[in-house]
Amino acid sequence: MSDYLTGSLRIASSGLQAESIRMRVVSENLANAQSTAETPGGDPYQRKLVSFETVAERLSGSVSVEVARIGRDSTDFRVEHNPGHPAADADGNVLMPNVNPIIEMADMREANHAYRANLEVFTQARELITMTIDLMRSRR
Amino acid sequence: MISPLSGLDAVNSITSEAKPGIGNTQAASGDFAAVLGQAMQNVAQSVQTAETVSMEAMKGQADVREVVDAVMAAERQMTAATAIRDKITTAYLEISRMAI
Amino acid sequence: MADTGIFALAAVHADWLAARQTALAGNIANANVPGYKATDTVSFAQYLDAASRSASPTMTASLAPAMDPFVDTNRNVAVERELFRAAEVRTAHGLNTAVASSFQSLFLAAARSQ
Repeated sequence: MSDYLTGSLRIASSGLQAESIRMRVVSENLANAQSTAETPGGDPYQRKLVSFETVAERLSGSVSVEVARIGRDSTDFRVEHNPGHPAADADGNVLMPNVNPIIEMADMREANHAYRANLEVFTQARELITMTIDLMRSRR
Repeated sequence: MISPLSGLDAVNSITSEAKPGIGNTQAASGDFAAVLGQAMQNVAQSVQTAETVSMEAMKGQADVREVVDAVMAAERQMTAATAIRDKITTAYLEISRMAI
Repeated sequence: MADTGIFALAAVHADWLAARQTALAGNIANANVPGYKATDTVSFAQYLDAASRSASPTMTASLAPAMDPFVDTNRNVAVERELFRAAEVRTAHGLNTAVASSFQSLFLAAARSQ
């Protein structure tokens, strides 16, 4: 016999976990937005991407989510002309991370929004369970 | 909700005027039975109504306010009826213990 | 006072609401998964119908979920709509438990002697 309410607790917490991993990755990208290589002509920090996937358990209706992998964004690195920089190549160009702070902030807002929605579902599922158990408590 | 309360009043007047003696007990218990019977009928009626309205609300055919009103009415009737029943039981035991 | 239909109905209703909660939990958790389509539930009328048809006299309907309550849709998830539906589940469940609790009290009061 499937227990839908505890199932929805699990699903909501899988959502919370996935979104908080996403927020961590976005924070990492933001923190490294200016991280260049240490050696001349080397590659800088490469933007990380989170991909989610569904984990379905049809019988119990459980459809949780998880982070499938944390991949790398293969967009080209930005090129900055900065001959004095330690990572400048022979032409005086420095490769900068392919991180756009504006996009990262938008991602962060979205992840935050999704996190809060999952938290509301989690809180509600817990409330429904409590209300059901309280039926057994003694009444006036 | 006036009828159960007036039923309670009837019980009060009966118990205060009852005099010891078999004859009077007979008459008194006849009134008791009528009062209690009426109260029980009210309870059954209001519980039935409350149940019907609640079931309709779960199916989306009645609204919350109707359910709350019906259930609270049933609770009031039940409380009044059990109060009457308990008063009658107490009164009867009191009367039956009186020295003849 | 014999056991009446209200408790059986409340149990089936609570089951359906719980299934609904699971469906929208899945929708909200997977809202950002590319290609994920929203899951919905059958209507309560359908679920109740299946439950009443399958329940035997000795077993209450809630012990035997008679039909799979979930339906696949072709819609993308709209989080705000899911949250609204969650609020509906919350209020319906609140009513359900309050009714069950009230009728339980009524029955206990009737059976209790002074």
